[in-house]
Amino acid sequence: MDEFIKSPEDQKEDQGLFDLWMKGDPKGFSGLYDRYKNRVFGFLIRMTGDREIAEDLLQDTFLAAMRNAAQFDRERNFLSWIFGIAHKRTIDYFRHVKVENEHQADTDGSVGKEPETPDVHFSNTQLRGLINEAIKTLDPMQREVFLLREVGDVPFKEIAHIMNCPINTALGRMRLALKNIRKELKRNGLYGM
Amino acid sequence: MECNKWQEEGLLYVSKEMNALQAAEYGKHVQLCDVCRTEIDRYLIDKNKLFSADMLCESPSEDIDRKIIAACCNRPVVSRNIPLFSTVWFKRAVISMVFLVFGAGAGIYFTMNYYDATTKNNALASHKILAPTMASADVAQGAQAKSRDSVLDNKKDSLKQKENTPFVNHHQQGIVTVDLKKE
Repeated sequence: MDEFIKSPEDQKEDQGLFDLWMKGDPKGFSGLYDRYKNRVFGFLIRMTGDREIAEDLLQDTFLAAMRNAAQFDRERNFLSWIFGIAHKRTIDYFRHVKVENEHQADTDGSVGKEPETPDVHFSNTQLRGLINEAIKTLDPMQREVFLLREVGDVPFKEIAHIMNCPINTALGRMRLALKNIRKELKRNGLYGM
Repeated sequence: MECNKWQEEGLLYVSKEMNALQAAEYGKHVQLCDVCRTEIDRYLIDKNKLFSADMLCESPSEDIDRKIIAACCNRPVVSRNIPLFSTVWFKRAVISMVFLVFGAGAGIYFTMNYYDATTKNNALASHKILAPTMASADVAQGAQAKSRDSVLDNKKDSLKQKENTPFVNHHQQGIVTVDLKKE
């Protein structure tokens, strides 16, 4: 599993791989894909809540990246760019199937689960499940900002650009997302462990 | 209790998105503000424990990996033979040139119109100023003509009178002369 590290070296490495890709070297694309597929897939699966759909969207995202590779602004972070594409694919998906209301209904349904006792020792898998549940309860906008920031490591300035909103709105959504996740984790006896 | 500074700047500070000056300023504030310090600590703990890569990343199936890699590596990569036409900067340059040309055209058009309008206005204004003097000149000319006519009329009258009474006059003159000669 890749680590959440963002450094100038990483960015240089991204640039190198991107250049290889543009020259037609398969190592370029596979290098970038291996680096970021898990983050992008993590974002997509939490946005859609469905593994198969997330896999389709992952495919769409990288194909769109390939088609628009020439438009990539080299001063921009590759990860921010790919997350921007993933965001657009997700929006297109929601527009196409009009499942936003169902999404909300799913979200409402998951809130009423039985809270677990605080002193339960959680395994990594259980912890992941609880965090996933907590993320599901978020408003879609809050969820997206949270995932872009925490999974994609996208700066708030870029998030505001991707979501076409002022930076203060993005910050506000992030604050609310954190607050709601903590509240939900607390309900499940996780918070303060 | 909440701190406005945390709400406005805290997340930017934690994400290292502030410039050095702002970060230093907020750093000083954090040393004094318990709310901000607590929030930052809490966020960092959550980020390390709950929002880590292990927790939030997911692996797609190997099948989809293979599909994507095959699709993206086997397809021809977007050509860069004509980078000028494919770059964002070229598009921007074209758009700005179009705006420049239209802007310059519009500017020239409006300037010419303005120039025409001002020259017309000036001409009208000068005509208005000259009009009274021209009128007075006309009056003067009319007066001169009138006076000329009246002089001519007088002359004509006198000639007519002379023509009508030539005999009397001559006679009278003759008389006078006669009278003078007699004297």
